[in-house]
Amino acid sequence: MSGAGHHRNAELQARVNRLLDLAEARGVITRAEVDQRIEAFGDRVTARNGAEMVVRAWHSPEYRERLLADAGAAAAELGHAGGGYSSDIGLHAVANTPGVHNVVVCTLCSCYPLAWLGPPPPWYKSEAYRSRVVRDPRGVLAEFGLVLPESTEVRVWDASAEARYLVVPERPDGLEALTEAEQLDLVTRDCLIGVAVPALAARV
Amino acid sequence: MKVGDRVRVRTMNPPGHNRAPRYVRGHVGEVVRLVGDGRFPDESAVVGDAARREEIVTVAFAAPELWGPDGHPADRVHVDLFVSYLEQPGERSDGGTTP
Repeated sequence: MSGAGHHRNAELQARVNRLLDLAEARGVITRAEVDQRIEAFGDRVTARNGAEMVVRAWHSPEYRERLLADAGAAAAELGHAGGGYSSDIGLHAVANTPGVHNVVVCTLCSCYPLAWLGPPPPWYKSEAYRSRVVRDPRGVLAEFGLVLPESTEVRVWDASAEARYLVVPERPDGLEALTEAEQLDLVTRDCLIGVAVPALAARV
Repeated sequence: MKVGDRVRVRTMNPPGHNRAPRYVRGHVGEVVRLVGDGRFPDESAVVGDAARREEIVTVAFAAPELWGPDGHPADRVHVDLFVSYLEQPGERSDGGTTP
């Protein structure tokens, strides 16, 4: 992963290789250690973390309140420490309600709550999504299969500075009938970005 | 700056790095959250950690303010902006006169 072929851009890959050569030569870190860290991050930091936060909020009004007030602290309560390349990066949760739907984008680059949810899907970084979801959110959401009533207020969050955004979907009806694992499965990565909502009907 | 304030994003086109998305420049919105402070990106792109720190606020723009009649009246776009990107709605850094 770290050494060969991780980057599609050949020039960037050459730079990474050169940096790794220097880091190894100077005893800073080995390639194997870099690979280990990437693997550990990929295993530990996934959208499942966000699902755990949402399901907890569905069951605990107190946790929901803490999540909406300080999402970083609420994530840490469940062991999802977050952080990132800068200590200025903070997590903020926005809640869907019967009249409000939230969706997240970064129009300037691809800011995403990576430290809490893992890497974003490729489409999140595409120019098509980034340029269109701010000016026609309903049209883009419909293409994802989410058709919202005319009366629903759509709130788009363009992560342009230090805050990273996480959508807290509404608790679906019939949740009680599901096991905890099934409840977690409902809260997909797309629900946390806001291009989908938890759908019980989708269960087989 | 406080929640509820109406602000306009400065009309500007600086040569270096800047994190006020072009589609909100010149437009008026409402402050809905005080985010805290961060390194001012226009400077940190050049001098890194030596850049000054500045307050960031979340500004909500009504979709029709940004897109005219093509914006849905119920929709809002929220953008986190460093306060030096903002001015009073009456100031008009672009020399315009409309409110």
